[in-house]
Amino acid sequence: MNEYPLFIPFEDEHLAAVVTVPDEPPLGLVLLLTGTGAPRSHRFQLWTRTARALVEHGLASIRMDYRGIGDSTGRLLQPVLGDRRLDQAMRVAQAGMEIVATRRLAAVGNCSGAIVALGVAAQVPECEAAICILPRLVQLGGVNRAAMEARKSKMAGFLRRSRLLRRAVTGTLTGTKDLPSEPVRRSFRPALDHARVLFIYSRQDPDPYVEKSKRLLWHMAADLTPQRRERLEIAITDAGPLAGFESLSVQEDSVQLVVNWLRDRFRAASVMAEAGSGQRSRGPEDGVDP
Amino acid sequence: MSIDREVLNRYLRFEDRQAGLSEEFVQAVIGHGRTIGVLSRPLGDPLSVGWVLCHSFGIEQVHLGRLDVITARALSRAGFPVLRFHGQGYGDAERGMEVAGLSSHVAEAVDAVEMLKRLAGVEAVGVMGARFGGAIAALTADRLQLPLLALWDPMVKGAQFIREFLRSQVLADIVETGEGGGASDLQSIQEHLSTEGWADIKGWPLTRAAHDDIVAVDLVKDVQQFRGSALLVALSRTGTVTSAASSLSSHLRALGAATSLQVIQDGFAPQFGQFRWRTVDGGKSKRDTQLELNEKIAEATVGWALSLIERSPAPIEAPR
Repeated sequence: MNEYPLFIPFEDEHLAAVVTVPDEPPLGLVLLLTGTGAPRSHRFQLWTRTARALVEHGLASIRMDYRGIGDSTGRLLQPVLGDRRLDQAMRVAQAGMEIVATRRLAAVGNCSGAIVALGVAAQVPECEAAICILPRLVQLGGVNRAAMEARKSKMAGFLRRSRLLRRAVTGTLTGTKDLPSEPVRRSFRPALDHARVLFIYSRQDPDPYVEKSKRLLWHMAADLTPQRRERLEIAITDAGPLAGFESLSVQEDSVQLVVNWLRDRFRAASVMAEAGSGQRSRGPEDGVDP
Repeated sequence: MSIDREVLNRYLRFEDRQAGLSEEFVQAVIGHGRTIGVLSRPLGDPLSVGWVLCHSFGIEQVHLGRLDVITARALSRAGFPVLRFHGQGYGDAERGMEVAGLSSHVAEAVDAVEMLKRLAGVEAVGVMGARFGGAIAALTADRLQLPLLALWDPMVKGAQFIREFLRSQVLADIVETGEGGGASDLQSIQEHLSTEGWADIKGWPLTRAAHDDIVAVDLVKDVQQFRGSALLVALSRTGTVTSAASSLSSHLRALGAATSLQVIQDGFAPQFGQFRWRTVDGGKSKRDTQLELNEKIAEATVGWALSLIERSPAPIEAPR
């Protein structure tokens, strides 16, 4: 295994990234993306650990700092969510594929990085798989915004302690009809036109906004064509909360889930490619179907 | 496997001609494993003083990381070479979080100083850091008798730092479950540390050894021979200086160090070292609450570092 740090030019800035490559030619490249504020290695070296575990299965990876984050250049006071981050991610993915000489790509992201990963899957034809960890899919309304901003406040802790108040608030939050946010609406179906996409949520995340996202995902899945639906997987894990990866067991479970799923996806796709060239076909290994 | 080395080499460094600096990734063994660092340098003739940045402990390394980057670039724009790196257990380093502790941080800072000293043109090396990283810088400067030291809101007493660290787990439990928060929760973490040798503190594996070593730190006692020039930046919302910063400043002066105590006033000073992204615009955006504070710290640090050069055109050496 080797790791190579890079400053990849992006317009007038340079995006810091690290490519991790196995000793043998890789099956493909995995782009590892963070949510707002986390550097390329993620909290608790999560993506560094993931990259090194992927190498064990013949997969290269590239982890990156967005503009103004980590070692990348640029000044970032207040990014609009999704602000050109998709362009940055696609630039880094292209550079990574060029360096490790592969045209097979997968993208993984958490929180707002998950939406970027979905966007990469939608826009990059070579992207054959994506993992979206704890993405917030819902278009924010006034009540949602208030819930999101208040969720770590003392008031939120008080509400959680009171069953009556909790029920009243949850009822309010679940009473509205949810719509996907614009980036999700733009990317969801195009991604599933050619890529397998795994959404991961936890039963342990108390954020009502996450509950709304899960519910919306099931609604969106129900509207898909059979071909697109076949490429969609939803995993609801018992490990959690996933937000912030603030426990060692959650970190370990997340790394294993990501690595095993990608290993199976790339192997299955390789087997299918071999079958298409006249060799005996095998079925894909078990994934994490709902 | 064959990889495109031409592309790799092309992307290893960049030059920012407008800012007058370059940055280059370096890979080296620092501490007990390989890691990745960044060397920032001026495009023009460099000054003879180089700086090593010492990062903080645990998740603070992530929250304060951008301060290191901003300060490194500001110093390089002013003519100084600067080395920042991921210690073992952090970022892109070879080893995992379980190896990180006071001794690993100090040993890595010593290695980084030696590495920077080997850089052509560097005649003196100073160290700097925020919070826990500030304590590491102080202990390293003291051990190596370095001539220059800059501390930003440093951890003066390790016991206080660890108490806040453990409380973060207790507070997380309250937010998550709505329960707990008493002294018994802190005690149960302490018991886990004693019986198991480690505890999961909000995703960070705090070892008993790291806990005990950090708790024992008291810079007012542990820094014993530093007599160089020191910058001590105190952060405050109101402009007042904490007793810990005052004590450390007095202690450094008593040792014979030329100490500059500067107060930076900022509304977000109390959140220094914490998660810095605040949801704004009704959830449509997030704002970096620490960026402007980071820039103020970098500006103060560059001003102080340049003032030393202007005062002392001869090579800077530590007084014996």
